[in-house]
Amino acid sequence: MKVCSASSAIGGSRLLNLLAGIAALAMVLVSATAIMWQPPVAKASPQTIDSDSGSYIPRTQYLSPVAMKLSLNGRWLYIVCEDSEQVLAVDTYSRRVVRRARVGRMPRGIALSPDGKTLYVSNENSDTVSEIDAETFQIRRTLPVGWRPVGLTTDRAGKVLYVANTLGDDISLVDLNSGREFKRLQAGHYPEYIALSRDGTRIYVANLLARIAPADQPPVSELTVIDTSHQVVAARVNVPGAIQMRHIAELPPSAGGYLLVPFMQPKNLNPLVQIQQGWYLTHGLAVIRPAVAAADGPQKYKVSEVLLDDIDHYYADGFGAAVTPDGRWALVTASGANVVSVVDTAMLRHLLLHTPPARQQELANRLDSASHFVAERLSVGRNPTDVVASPDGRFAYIANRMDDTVSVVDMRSTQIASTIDLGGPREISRERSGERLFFDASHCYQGQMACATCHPHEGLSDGLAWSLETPKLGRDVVENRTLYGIDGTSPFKWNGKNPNLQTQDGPRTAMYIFRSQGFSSKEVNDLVAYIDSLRLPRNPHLASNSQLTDAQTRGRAIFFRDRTMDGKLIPPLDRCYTCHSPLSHYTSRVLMDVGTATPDDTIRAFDVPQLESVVTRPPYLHNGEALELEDIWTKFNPHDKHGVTSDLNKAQLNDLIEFLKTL
Amino acid sequence: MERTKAISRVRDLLCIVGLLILATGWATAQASSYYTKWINYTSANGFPPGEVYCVTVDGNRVWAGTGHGLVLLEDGRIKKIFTTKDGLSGMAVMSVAVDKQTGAVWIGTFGGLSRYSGGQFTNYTNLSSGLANDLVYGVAVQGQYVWVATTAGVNRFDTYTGSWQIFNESNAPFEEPWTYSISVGAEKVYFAVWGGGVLSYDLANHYWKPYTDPDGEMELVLYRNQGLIHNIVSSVSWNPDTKTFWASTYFGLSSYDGRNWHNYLKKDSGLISNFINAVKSRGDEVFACTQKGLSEFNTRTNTWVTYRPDPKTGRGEILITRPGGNKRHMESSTTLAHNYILNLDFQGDDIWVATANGLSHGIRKHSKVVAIPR
Amino acid sequence: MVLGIEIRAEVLVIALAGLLSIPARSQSTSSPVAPKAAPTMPYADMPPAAVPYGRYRKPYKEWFVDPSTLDYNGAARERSDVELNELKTVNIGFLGPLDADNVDSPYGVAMLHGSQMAVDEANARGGYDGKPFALNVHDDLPLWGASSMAIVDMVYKDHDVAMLGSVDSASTHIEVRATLKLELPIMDTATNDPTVTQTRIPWLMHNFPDDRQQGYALADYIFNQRHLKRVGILQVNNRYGRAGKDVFFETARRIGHQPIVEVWFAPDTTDFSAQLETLKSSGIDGLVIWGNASQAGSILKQMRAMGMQQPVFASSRACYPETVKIAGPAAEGLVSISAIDPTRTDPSWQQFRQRFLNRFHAEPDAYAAYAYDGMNMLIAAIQKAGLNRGKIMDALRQYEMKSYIGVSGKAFFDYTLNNIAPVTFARIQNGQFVYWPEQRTDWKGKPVSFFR
Repeated sequence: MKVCSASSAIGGSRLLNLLAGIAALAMVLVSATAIMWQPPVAKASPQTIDSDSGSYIPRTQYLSPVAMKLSLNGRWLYIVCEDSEQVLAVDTYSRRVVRRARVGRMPRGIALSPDGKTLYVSNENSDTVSEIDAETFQIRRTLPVGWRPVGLTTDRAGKVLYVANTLGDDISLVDLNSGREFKRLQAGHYPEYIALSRDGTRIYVANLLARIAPADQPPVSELTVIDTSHQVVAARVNVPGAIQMRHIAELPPSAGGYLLVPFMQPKNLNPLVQIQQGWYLTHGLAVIRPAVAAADGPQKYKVSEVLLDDIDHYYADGFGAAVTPDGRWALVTASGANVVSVVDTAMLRHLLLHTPPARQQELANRLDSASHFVAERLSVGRNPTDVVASPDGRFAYIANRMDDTVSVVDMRSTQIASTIDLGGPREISRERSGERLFFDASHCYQGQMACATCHPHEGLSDGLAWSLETPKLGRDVVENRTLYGIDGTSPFKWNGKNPNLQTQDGPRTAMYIFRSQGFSSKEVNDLVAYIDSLRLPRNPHLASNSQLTDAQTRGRAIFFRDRTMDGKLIPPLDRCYTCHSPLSHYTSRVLMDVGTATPDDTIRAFDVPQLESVVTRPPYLHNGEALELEDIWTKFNPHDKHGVTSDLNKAQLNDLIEFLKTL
Repeated sequence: MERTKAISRVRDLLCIVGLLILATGWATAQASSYYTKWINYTSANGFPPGEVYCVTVDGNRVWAGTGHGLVLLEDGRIKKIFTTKDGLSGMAVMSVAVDKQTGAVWIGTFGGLSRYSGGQFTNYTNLSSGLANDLVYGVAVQGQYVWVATTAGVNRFDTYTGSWQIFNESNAPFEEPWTYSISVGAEKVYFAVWGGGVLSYDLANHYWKPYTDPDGEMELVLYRNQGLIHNIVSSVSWNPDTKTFWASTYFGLSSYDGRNWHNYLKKDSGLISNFINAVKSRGDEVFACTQKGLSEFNTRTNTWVTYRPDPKTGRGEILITRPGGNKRHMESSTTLAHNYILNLDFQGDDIWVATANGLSHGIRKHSKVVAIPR
Repeated sequence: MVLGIEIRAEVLVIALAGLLSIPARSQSTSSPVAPKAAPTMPYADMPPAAVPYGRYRKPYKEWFVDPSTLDYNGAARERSDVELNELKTVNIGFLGPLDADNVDSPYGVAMLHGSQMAVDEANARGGYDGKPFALNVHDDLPLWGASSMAIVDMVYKDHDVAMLGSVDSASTHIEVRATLKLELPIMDTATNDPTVTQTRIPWLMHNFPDDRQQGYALADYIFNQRHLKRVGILQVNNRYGRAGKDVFFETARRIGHQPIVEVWFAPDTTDFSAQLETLKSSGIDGLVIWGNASQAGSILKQMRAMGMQQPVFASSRACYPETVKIAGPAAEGLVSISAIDPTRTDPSWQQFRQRFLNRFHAEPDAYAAYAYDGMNMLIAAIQKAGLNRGKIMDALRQYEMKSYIGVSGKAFFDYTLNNIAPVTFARIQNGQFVYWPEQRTDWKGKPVSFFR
């Protein structure tokens, strides 16, 4: 007998009656609408509700600079603004915006051709790259690439464009003569930023998320290395214990030739209460060095990890990384701390070279080492993302996403020289205020984390299981969940204890997560407004005309079936669509026991997760045990408690999964 | 004018004669060049012991699937033996395909499918992916798709979308689902189906076509060139040069050029055994990997050459069967590691041969061999 | 009739010559086995009337009829033997349907019991050189292809030297294909599918009466002895049903009695009225059921209730008390193939029966008996050959064209290592099965003797 439980104390029989009622109601509604139901179509562009009139008004158009490139001579600073969907050209002499070009939806990355004449801008929500004349700012071509592209670069000859497709977990290689993608290379998990090596022989790809792996093991992230001569993956470098690697900076050979990649290091299996003891979420740099290899052997890479945090203060959410042409300074933005750390690379190198091999691994956990190599901490604008250094080494520019400004650093004094206002709206909407809070780690004890720390890329699940509920090690570990499209999916948390986001983000967050004074009630409302505004990304598994493929159609029939393959009636509570109702984001919004609780869980029933975009957020089940969708049924449904599936053959299970991917 | 014409005709004639002489000489040279130098990789020189199930050449690299993992050789030296401890999905490696576009190496094992890329294995299994079954016999790359031959049907994995499609008796003309090997042509993909003949999949029009034993009986071959010789097909090889596919069975060898079938048995050809584990063809060459030696058939000269260790002496034996049944026997100082042959691949003019007891590298030489009349 | 006698006599002579000429193969050399005698009897002792194309043409090539059928030239014999000192047990794998939800589990459980008894008795005799045999049991679970990997685990994890199994022919085919690569001797004691031994894979031995023998026997009995003309077929729509009825159908067709109607039913069918209506309206004078006992029982009950009084014949899985239990009086007269004759009084069977009863508190069925025999053959081969899998395979191949007398009766193995011994018939009389040995005719009505 399947057991349903609710968060309040309801007696067993009443509980079952309630459940039966809910199920019956759901059945009626679903039956009435299932025939009429059509696959979801892409959501309309973001809108907001006027709090006074309650009517929909266009969302205030902020700029949100997120990626930058300098022209070859350093005169022009090209800035990608994700919210205004523009590329700007700033004259670095006058420090004014002199050109604007409208690109695709949600532009996120930028590359410059080797001759400096062409810009390439990735449009994450359009699955395209805009090719732009760098002088006239005219759009020349729009190049189709993979799913949700972000980072991009050309090769040294300017003939091939490499584009990191975050959702596709791959790299599109585009022939810039024909404009056609000619091959796609598998990357790691959620490849975001990408860099061409100084010698042009390699493309480096930083994967934002760790490889999907058992929840009880530390995460391992991947730096994917592509050989540009053969255009194949040459190496997949393990970066242990780290996630959220972002921009890649390469020191010149004279400064060691290291790759510097910001990362976050979670202690996610320790009870979160330990955040008040510090050292729970740390932030630093992966220092990756080509190692000496046998003459005929493949290139090896040595990975060291150092922290940029101080003992009692953290620099959360490393994002941008750049080095000055002489390699003396490296600049790393802490997007959650509104700080740029200026790293003395000679000191960093000294630390690495003089730390005995046996103690190298300790560096990843030493909160006292940053003082050896961080020369300055520069306060910049809100949510600093990208950073670039001028070719002459005089200046560095930092894009402050939440301020619509660019900070200019004078590298001779390593101090802020000025701030360029890009012309964003002066008024701050409720959502924008919430967005600022979302990225701001100052609300957390010692600044260890912001909301964005565990929900990178503006709302993703980081793919990790966290020990949130109890101070007992190993108990009640739960998988992180996405924030995309959660409006209307209450209650929240796997145990369903939070009836709304105000509760989730208010005192509970302050008490259990941030261990701080928490947000004011206005801040909570602003934050909730922002989170509610996070829409589901377009689902590339569903055709643009919403027409299902044959396999998806067969899978849909399985999802909505009420009889087994041999004609037996499936009890209502064992049907997919009862608990994952299409009428309510594919969730019944109650707790269900589907036989997945383990001895380490205090409760047996868990919140039914919504299925929209389910394919984009592995692993699965409340504790992340199911690494792939298949695992849910092949490994964790032995008694058909999580829907009747044991009558399906492998092809039918594949069909069901193909349908789920369309949601 | 007439004289010029005559000179021109004579010149043309001389050219033709010259070409004919050259062609004949080339043909003779071809016919008399044999694989006489063999370099063997066995447990005696660090190679895993026992069966080598498959061999795939990738430039200067050679991948060999064994019962004890996957061996990588580079320039003839053993570089690495990968096992499940390195992340490989299974110890018994049945097939390897290299994606020339991406450099990814796809490995079919008795334990699932592995992708080796950038020094890391990614595994796909029946429980954790759309893979039809963990007993994977064959794998091939076709553009963005990876085709997988399993004991429960054929998979097509789209590396772009991550979608898995299963083809079996429910949606394609499979008489049996047990699929052994895959050969990719420009327009079609061919599948050897154990008990189900040969299947082709038309890439442009997305339809399947079966080629089965027309007599329908397991225990006989009714006519010599009746069609596919037997339904228990162990491998298939598409030859793009001759537009012909070859199918090996445990009951003889078949070829089909789109119009005609040609079948070969031990009793009517130079084939050394009717029990054939694999076939590979290019140009005029067809290699049948039999359980009693490696039989090479030249379709232009209609000559068969079999290489094997002499069952009695262990020395190299080359058996030549010319058109009309004329047979010659030669010896070579080196020979294959074992006479039970499982698989083969080409490396330029050389061949790499998987045997029941080691991997053999065959080098074709025009060197003298000792002809021994029989 | 004359032709039939001549062929039988020829077969007898050649077979006897073959029996006498089987050399004792070397167990230590890797050189190929020397050629044996020339072609002998028709494949599977096929009745002349059932030979494919037999009335039209001599085939270009015939398989399975000479000693080279299962020639093995691989390297298995060259592998170094497992060091006995390093072993705690000598492991043998078992694959069979055991989960209670599996409809084939009664066969699988019986098979396991028979195997276990043979192993325990061998251990009581001292095991292998003092080391006990141990069964590594794998459940043949169809869900998500779980059992496909059983043979891989047997080789790589369990370090088995041989295996026994399975019931489902699809599972067995999978194991057979895998063992061509992995080279683990397989004793198949339960599969009916004749194609399992048509693969030229020397690692498989099969001792259960397959559908060829059952089909030939039924066709001969129905058309030559009962002289029926208009037979219908009702088969379960799974591999057992599809593969099983094929031989009967083809044999009937070749002798001029093509079944006039074929109807199938899903494995979980309980209401057969639609199928029976079709059969009834076809005007059949006899019905052949290829299904299990519960299906046969329900069919009998329902068809008699519909007034259909045609004689009914069935494959061996119908020969269970469950048929009588379900059909009651409607089961009277059913004639089915039986894989064994449990009423035999010879001491071998009776003692086995008693030991089995004492241990498992149930009557041994055919699956238990053939598993017991098969396991004993495996154990004997191991005792003889040692722990080298190739040599164990060689030892099993010594049964080619030889008999083995076990508790299940007398088996005779052809060049494919398939048991082609005559089958047993059973008829339900007064609620009980009455058994008699197959008495085949010369396909013209006159009885002939079996050479085996």
